[in-house]
Amino acid sequence: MPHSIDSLSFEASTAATIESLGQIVPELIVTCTVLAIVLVDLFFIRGKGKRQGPLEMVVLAGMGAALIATWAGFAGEPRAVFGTMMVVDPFSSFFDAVFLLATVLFVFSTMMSNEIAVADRSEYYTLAVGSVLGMMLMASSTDMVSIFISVEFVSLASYVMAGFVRGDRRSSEASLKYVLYGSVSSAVLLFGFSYLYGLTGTTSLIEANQVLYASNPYPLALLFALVLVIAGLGFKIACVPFHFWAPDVYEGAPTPVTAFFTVAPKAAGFALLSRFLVTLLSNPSTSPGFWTFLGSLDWPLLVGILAAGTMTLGNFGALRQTNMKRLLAYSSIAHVGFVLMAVSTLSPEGLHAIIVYMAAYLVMNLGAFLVVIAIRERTGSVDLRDYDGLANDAPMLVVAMVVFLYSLTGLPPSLGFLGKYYVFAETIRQEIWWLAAIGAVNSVIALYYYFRVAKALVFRPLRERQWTGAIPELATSLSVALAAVTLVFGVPWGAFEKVTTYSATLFLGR
Amino acid sequence: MLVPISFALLALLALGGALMLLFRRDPVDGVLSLVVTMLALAGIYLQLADPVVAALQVIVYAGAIMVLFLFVTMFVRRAEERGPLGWDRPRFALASIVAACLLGLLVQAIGAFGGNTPTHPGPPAEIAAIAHSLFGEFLYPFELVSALLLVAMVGVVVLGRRGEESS
Repeated sequence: MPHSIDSLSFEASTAATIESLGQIVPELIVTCTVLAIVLVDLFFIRGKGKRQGPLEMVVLAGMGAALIATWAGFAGEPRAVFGTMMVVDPFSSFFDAVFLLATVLFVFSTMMSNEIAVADRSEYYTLAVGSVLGMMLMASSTDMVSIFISVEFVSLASYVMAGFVRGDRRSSEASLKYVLYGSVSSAVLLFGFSYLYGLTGTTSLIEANQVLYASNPYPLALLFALVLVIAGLGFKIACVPFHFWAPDVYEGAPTPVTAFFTVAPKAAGFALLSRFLVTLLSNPSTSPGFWTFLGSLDWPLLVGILAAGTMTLGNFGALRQTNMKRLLAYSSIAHVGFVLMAVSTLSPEGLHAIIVYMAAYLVMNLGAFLVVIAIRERTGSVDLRDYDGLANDAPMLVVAMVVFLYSLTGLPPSLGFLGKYYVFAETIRQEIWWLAAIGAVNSVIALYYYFRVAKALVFRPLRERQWTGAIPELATSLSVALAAVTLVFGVPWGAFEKVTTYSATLFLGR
Repeated sequence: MLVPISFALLALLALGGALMLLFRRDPVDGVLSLVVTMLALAGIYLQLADPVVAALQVIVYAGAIMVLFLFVTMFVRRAEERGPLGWDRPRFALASIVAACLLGLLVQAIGAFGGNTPTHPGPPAEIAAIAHSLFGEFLYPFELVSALLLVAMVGVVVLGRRGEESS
């Protein structure tokens, strides 16, 4: 019997489990934060006099501690933990930091918005931090079981967060659409995994990779399984043709949640997609830093076509929007296209481009959303027609917004330019000219709708109107700080380059 | 040849249940068809020589989850949509076919024992093996699910409280 239970092997596996727990300190801290939110709300914040503050402090402290732990583990040796369930490598640590920073900005944006009632904040933060835990696990999972559970983790929390505003039909509609499309995509993903398991006899991607390179008797079945997996993940990152849920969900969800959704789960999806493709399909016998791929199918071409379709449809969709949330939703689809362009190169340099792009997108997109939330507090609207002349009312905020829009377009010197630069450099180096050309045309289209916003803010006259509130002080200072980051890191820095290049290190179990 | 025939029967049952689920107008009919699919799947698992998974399939899916589904669909269905259960001819014929299939399987399964009663000293080896891999190799995803359930529970609290407020 292969699985006899003798106490010796049991003790050995217990020791291995405890040893593995020591390797995932950031994840453990985030788990404890989830529990801390529930407990603090239960025992320390009582009665009707709920105030903003204590819960936010708990979340920020947890995220801060996890960030420090992530930074401490960043330079460590890439390694697999819990067997080959997940890996800890610079790539996963980098994405952990992206999720944690996005959460910090998310907490600030919630604090300055009145969309989420203070009484509901504990459930709201529990779900948000829970989804962050899921994202961190997504970025490091290398087993189909742990991948699926972590994807569901993020999805379940997201469904509820999208419909968080009580009695708001749009928010409920967004939530329902998200649940329906999301469940279908999860089922498709799982179906693909079941085929992969059937083909390789293992759920571990690292082992499956070795099995496939030893023999691949059913290439068509493998192709079918991979198409299903890519479709399932494509849904989660909202790439064309699986994008149609995104604009409705992003418009209906509370604005801080939309801001969070457009950045963090997408980054997690890209981390997972890149890790999945490289771990499962790259040739184990080639030297590190150079990958060749399995299969008769031209993967770069397939992902490249998805990339081209995604950026083009996203940009054309954004052209006609007058609702800022919808506009940024379509723009986020377009940016997904650019990142997919980097995925399609399937090289360490492409991975580096993804990392830089996601970091840039985190700063500039969350910055733009901060401004949208602040303006919503002032005018009570997210409609572009209410943006006329706000430069006269809140000059600093508008300057920051113009910087974010400039960066989202990808003009130098800005973080957005840096991200696009690496993506295009790698595409051109691999001589995928058609994709580079489509990307360039799309950048010009994006210029139009981003600057339509800038034009309304700066050049139109300010109308007489009823203000619904004041611009939160925090919003102004935070967005100016983010704008400064956007510009300062837009100039290529040696240190930044070094950190991001190092982050493109994947543990592949060989 | 015995195994492929019973597999074909089970597969047809599973497919038929799934198709009925898609095409029946009445949600209660749909849920009941899904029970057929779940039971047929349990039969397929049994045939793959995995009695533990088959038992879990019956207890968890065909049993607990389907009862919940049925309960919820009957609960939310509006009163006027509820008609008496008609026993028209095609429905009766279909029911007879399904029942005959199940009977055939049962007879085949009993026949397979050949009059011997199985004797198992202690838990079967499969259960030990499953426990070993569940709490050994797959301990980490197993624990992950508990964290997932906590988050899902909070989500349910949020959704449940909303219903309270709107009423």
